[in-house]
Amino acid sequence: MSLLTAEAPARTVAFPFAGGRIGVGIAVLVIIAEMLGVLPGWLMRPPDWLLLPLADWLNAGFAFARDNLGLIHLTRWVADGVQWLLDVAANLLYGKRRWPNIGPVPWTMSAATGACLGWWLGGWRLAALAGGTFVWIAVMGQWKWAMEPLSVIIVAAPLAVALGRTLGIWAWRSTRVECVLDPLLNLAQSMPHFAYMIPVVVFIGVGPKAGAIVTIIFAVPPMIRMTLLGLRKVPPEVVEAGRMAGATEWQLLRKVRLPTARTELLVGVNQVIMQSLAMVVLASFIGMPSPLMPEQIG
Amino acid sequence: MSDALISARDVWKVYGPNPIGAISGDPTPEALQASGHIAAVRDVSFDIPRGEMLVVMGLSGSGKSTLVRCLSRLVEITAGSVTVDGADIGALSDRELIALRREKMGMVFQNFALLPNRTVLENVAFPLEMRGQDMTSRRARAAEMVRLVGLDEREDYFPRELSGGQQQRVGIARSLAIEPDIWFLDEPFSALDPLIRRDMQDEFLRLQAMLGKPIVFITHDFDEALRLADRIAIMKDGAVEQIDTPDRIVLHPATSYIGRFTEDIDKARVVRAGSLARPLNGTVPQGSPVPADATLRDLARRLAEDPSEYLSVADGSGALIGVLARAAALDLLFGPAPALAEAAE
Repeated sequence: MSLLTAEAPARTVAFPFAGGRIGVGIAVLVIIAEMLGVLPGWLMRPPDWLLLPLADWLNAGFAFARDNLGLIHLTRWVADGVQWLLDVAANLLYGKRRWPNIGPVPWTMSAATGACLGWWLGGWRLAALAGGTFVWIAVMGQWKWAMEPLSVIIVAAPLAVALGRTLGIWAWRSTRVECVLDPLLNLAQSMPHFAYMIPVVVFIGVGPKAGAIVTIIFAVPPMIRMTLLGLRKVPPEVVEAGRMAGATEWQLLRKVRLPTARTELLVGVNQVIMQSLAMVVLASFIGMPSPLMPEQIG
Repeated sequence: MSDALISARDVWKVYGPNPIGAISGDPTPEALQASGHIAAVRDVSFDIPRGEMLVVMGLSGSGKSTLVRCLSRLVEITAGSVTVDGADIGALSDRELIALRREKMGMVFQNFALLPNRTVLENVAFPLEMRGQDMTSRRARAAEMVRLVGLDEREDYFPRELSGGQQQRVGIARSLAIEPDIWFLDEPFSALDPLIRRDMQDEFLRLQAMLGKPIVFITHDFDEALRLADRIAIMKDGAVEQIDTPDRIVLHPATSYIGRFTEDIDKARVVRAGSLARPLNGTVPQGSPVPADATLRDLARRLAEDPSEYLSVADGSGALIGVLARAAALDLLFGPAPALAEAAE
């Protein structure tokens, strides 16, 4: 009895379905046919007539969205706003000649600001680390090269956080939005870094603003994901406590749910900064000021 | 209307694909389950008068937490009605419901449910902030509440820096900050270890004696229920099996299920002389009367040493209300089960 039961599953594993033997037979036949050289070539590699003209379709699609749908006006408008912020940051950090024309801020003052922020956020250890890092960069003679990407990150990271948090809240409130966003996020997070740049170049062009926008787009997905996760993890009891305190839906979100989800939100912010750092260097390929391509700075 | 502050009438809460259709014709739990529904609250009706502490007791999954959420409309009921202070809360608009909670309801939660980003004082002030009270007055009121629960040294601590018992004190202070008319407590001491639980029960009784609020208190601990309750409602599978005073539940369990709960209880600690007293029927007992609200445990020595067959029982004003059969009382104190059945008759 025990022998029989032990044997039965072993047989199932060896031939999981009835067609097993037939499949093996066909495979053997195909291998023999290939060795004899009697198989048609299109079975081995796709012929030219089978290839889809995907590149042409994509180009046509982009052109249609940009020119016929007028998407370019929207993207230009957004890009101009980003450009203005970038100019302000660039003027303050390394003295680019743009409004408000008060920069560059002296390196000692930048270092002191970093130290003060560090002290406020995490005590004297973080203050020493932040201030010390600025001083180190200055002493290394890399001040300007460091301030250029920083001027982009200081604009791109907060925008990515704000955008990601908004989209995350929206997806949390509406299942439909989540259903649309989720595959897009999967796609975005599995794409290589460079793939982000092409559509941005099509719609925005090249230059620092394109670099900042590609950085924002690249950094947003983790923020959306972490916002969604954080809001889902808020204990139901805490929400009920908020309701019993007489909070409206808006008060619940702002004063109960988001503060309770702050661990996840802060991980999201951390991821945004990491992603921005990774992207801001690559973005020099489309005209971002960066240590990789110092000659572009004007 | 009666003077009931909260009254529940035929309240049902059913989860499943078609809750309203599922409850037509008072189905059995088995029939509901067969149609893919779960009844968390089954046809519950009761009244809570002003000033009463009702303890809702039941094992986990018996629907007691859902029931208390029906009373505050944290959960929308499937059928029936809940009236609070004369208003049907099912008919309130969102705005009116928020106003009701801001003015009249306080709730304490099993896992404290404090906001991690706020200090003790800010947590306690949260309900006041929600109703738009200004900063100065809400801080003053919150500080008063924090003092009341004995945490005045720790106003600026964050919840994570406090022990479980201290966190629940914050939860209690928060629920009392708006001076609620009704106080809901959902297993407030279940997450605490036994010694602290005992302290917190004492603390709670002290607050209750001071404030005298009507209370709905949820627990799965029968001893806790006996210790605190004016009346106990025992729930099973969403239905209230019995709702009565602690000593009547102990002496006259309505079902065998409740009988099992009361089996291991030291009845002498629960049963009071008044509830065992029988009419005088012309007998004139000798000796000084015993107070009606004394438990048999309090009277143990007297019961053992007094030679007379009957002891007289007097209420708070000193008037005789009946006689206590000494043998029956002794049976409850020491006695074997067969003698108990006789005493219960």
